[in-house]
Amino acid sequence: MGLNAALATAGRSLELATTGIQVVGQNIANANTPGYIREELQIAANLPYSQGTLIFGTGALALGIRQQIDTFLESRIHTANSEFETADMLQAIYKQLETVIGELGEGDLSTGLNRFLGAIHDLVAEPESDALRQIVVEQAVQFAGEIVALRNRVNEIRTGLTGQVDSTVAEANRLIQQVGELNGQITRLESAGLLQSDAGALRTQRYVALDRLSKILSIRFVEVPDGSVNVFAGSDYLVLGDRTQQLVTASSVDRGVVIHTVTLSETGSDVARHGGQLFGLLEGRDAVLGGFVDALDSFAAGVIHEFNRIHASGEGSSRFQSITGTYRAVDPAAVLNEAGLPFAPEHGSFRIKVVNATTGLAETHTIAVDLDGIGADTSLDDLRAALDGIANLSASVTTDGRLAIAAASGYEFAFADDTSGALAALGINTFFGGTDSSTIAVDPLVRQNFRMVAAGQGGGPSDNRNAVRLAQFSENASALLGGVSIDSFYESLITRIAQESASQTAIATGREGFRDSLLSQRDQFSGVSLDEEAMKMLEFQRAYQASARIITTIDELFQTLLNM
Amino acid sequence: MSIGPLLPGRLPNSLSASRLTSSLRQTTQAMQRLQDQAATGQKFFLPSESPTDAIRTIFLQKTLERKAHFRQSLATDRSLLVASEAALADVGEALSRAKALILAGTGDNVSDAERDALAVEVGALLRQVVGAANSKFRGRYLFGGSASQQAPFDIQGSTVVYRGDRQALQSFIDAGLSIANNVDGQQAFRGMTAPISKDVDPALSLDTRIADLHGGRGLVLGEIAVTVDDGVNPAATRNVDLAGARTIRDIKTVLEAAFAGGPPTLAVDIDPASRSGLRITPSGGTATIADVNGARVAADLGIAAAAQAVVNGGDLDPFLTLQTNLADLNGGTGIGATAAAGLRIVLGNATKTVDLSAATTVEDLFNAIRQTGLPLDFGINDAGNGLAIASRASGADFAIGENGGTNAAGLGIRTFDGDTLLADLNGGLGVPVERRDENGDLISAPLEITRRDGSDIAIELQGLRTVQEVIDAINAVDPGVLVASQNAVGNGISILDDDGVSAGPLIVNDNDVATALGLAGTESGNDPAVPLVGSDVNPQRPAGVFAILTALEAALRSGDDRTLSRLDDLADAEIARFSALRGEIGGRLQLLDNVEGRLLDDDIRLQEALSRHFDADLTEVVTRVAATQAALQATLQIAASNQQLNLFNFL
Repeated sequence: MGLNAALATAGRSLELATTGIQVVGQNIANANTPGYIREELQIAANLPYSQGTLIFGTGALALGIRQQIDTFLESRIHTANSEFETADMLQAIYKQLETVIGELGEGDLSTGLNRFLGAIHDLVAEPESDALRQIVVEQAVQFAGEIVALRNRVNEIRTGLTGQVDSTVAEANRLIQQVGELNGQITRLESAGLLQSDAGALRTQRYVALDRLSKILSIRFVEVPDGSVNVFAGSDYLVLGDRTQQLVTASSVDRGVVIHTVTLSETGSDVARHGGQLFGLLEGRDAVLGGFVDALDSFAAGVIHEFNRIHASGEGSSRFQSITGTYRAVDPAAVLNEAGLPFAPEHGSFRIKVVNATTGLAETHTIAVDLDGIGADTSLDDLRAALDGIANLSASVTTDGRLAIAAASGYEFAFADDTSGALAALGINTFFGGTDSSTIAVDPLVRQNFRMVAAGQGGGPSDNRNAVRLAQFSENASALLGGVSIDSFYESLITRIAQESASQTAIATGREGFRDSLLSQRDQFSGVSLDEEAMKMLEFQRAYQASARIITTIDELFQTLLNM
Repeated sequence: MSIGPLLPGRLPNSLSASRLTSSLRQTTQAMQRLQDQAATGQKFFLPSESPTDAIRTIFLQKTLERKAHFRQSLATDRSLLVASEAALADVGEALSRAKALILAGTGDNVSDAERDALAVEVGALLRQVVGAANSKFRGRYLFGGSASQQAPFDIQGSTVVYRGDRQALQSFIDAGLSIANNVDGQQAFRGMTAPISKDVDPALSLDTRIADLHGGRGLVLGEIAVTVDDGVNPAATRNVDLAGARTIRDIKTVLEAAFAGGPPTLAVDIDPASRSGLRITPSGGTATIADVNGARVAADLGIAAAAQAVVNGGDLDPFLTLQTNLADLNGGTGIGATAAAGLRIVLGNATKTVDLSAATTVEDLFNAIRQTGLPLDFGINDAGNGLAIASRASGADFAIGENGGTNAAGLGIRTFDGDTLLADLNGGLGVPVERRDENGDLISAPLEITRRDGSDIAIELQGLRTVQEVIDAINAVDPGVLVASQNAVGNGISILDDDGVSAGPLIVNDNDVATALGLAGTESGNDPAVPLVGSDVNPQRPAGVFAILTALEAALRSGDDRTLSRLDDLADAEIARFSALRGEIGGRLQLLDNVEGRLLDDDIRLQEALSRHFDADLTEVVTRVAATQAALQATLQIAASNQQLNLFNFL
């Protein structure tokens, strides 16, 4: 159609170049926007038309503005994100745990144990010293206090992690909500669009939201033709079109602290167990710290029972006039190792010596603790009856299931040779009380009267035969700890944590490297290069100038034509 | 962001910026870490930073902390032993002085007044030695054993009573190494008599603890295989695990329970014939008992046997305990009737009778002895197979005899008994059953008796060793008529000469042999049923310095030269023993020195190892700081110029 057609073509070119400049401007403006995906103006030659034998082009056409994104890479990044965040959270938790244990410093448990053992060694060398007896008790109080303090510190971390779970869940819910809302907006905006990524800024926002969500949970997304994405965690949906499913928390008590567990509001699935930061938080709180609490409980139980077993067979520098056990049996009529005592006694016996305080005449009785599973076995009631049958001794079971023994006036009693562990299990003539790391404490009786520290076995004030055994208690194999000694149990616990922490750090570093290489690929593909944009700007500028030149030329041609 | 590989293609500014940020962050972190290492001297701060080093560090720290306790105990032990040694040195000097006094007091040329003066000096010396023996250091009476809170030696009239015990107070000076940091009063001063003790062979009972078997050595229990074939039912083999058994009764229970589902069944009891082993009786046929997998459980229990109708186990030799029944002693034959019997204990001027009719166990016996109020020490002997009863009083004679029965002999504690050696009588002077004649030849010194019928006999005792042999020699003269036996009450030998006719006096001529046997004397009554009762010539006395000094004081006052000369020998022996004892303490002190040296060496070695694993190498830190600094500088420079370069600058 001649000049008019050429003018129209040039006019469109001007528009196109302006659009191009606008896209470049948008890219340059967002060069530093985190998560921004560069956009590119898609240009194509316009449809031609034929006139006679000639086929003419009609210039260029803007097909649309397309985001430069590799959605497959995006999915890989999401996976890498959740894997890294799990490992990163776990290694942070391990580091916190190592810090509270503080094993390389001075205030750690092994130092506490060594100070306690040191005090016993001093007492072994000078058993007659009341001052050293008191120091043994004080060091024990301190050691027990350190165990409880360590347990409390771990509890605090666990409580803190539960707080973090709450805030992470809140964030995840906001993100799920946001993706759902953005889905609607993008669908509406793009319904008339040319390409399926016209709503660039909104899509960028959605990608940013998905990226953050993939750090919290392990997710998978699928884009559907209307421009919305469906997001899944495992086999459960989080976002389906504009429908969303939220994470909800529930409270429960675990190992002495309140914890929150996470499930999905609609399907009720345990979605947080799939990966991501949330998984790291829960795993760290329950398996890593919870596991440490369990091990610390075993350690404390080992210390309590192994020390008590030796202690219960010894004599202090005073004998008992009466004593009530510290541990209670739930069912005094049940066989002793099934009576609900915190530590189960075994088949054996112990000796009780009743002494006339005035004449010094002693009567020793062997009390059998029959727990061989053959015939009638001993219950707490049987034990009480056996003790009660001894002259000048009365025994009873308190209403809350503790064994109480009292001597007649003018008589005293002491214990020896407990092969059954029954005395230790009933809390009679024991040194430590409590059952685990949160309750371990020195027996109040010993604390009030350090003469009850059973250093001897019935000799004079310098009798240290039992103290000699007590000084080695941490080196004896403990059935409670699976046949290892308290020393090696603690050492292997610390070793295990150090090694797990180190390997978790290595895993986190490895996953970080992988994620970063993917991020770097994304950045390389989707990031804004100013030089490139400058080039494009020049291109569009020149195109605009050239098109304008064509218009000027056509204008001149029209002038010429009109002036003819 | 960590710095990974770059793909070919475009390089957006945001990427290069983030890579720069991350490399700067890493380098500054490395710098900070080096700075921390230099500041603290620690190579790492959390165990996970270097697990292997950290584990070694933790182990080394523990070892160091524990070794420190040993050094502290060692210092305490040394001070206690040095103080004990010093006190013993004082006593040694006192003994030398006593020896000088013995020499000064011996002989005819010393007047009674001089002897009295010397006796007074000995009395002062005795109090001085008691003072040294009651030394107190660091709040402990050094020589009381575990009874360290009262003065262990107490002067009561002419005796010195030891109130302590014989416990060695062990103290740890290195891992698994302990040493006694005391010397008890018996070891130091022999303040008690050497206890008379015999193996009383306690019988096995169902209550006997496994740990008390084999003389207290116990045995390790495990699985055994028991087969019962009664010839009627199919032979039953059971592998029975005895590991949980604590007493003989448990073994019985477990073995019987294993076959409770029979027939055939099994019965287990104490072998009534030997009373020292188990007896296993199958319901019929035979029982076979064997060990499993090369263990020695059945063998140690003495019941390993091929097919037998009754398995009679071997001797399990149980330990004597406070709970052992007196009736179970001597292989279950007991100690004889206790009614109208018991023990007769003589200590110095006191004679006490111990009634055992209410005593069931060893502990009851001890309680009965305790009730006499006499200063005695009683317990189980070191071998665990007999009683040990000793006198705590230096300067008093001590004897345990019968009170009309056989209880003292049955308990193995009679101080004068059939198997008492003649050589031990009279405080070790023995019985001169032979003497030298004028020519210096060894000839027999006979026991000369004038019998009730007026005849004189001489009984040759040459070559005899024990009291029983002497009794047998007398009984061989006129069997059934001239009868010698041990005194029914107390200790000594009685001689009865009853032919049913003669009623003359029974006379044992007063010679050295008769005196030494306690037999010299006359029974002048007309009743031949009344024996001539001899005296106890085996009184027990502590042998130590207090016994010597109390005896010395008495001997000086009485001018007993014979005793003085014997005391001279005893003093020499005691001085030699003191030197040996001080040598032994010196040995312990030397061991302490050696161990301390080793502990110090260990300490240095451990510190060195600790430093190798835990301490930062400053040279390395400084070198790495320099390298890191250079890298940081270069990065910053390149980044600064790189970031400025942009196409826009040229438009």
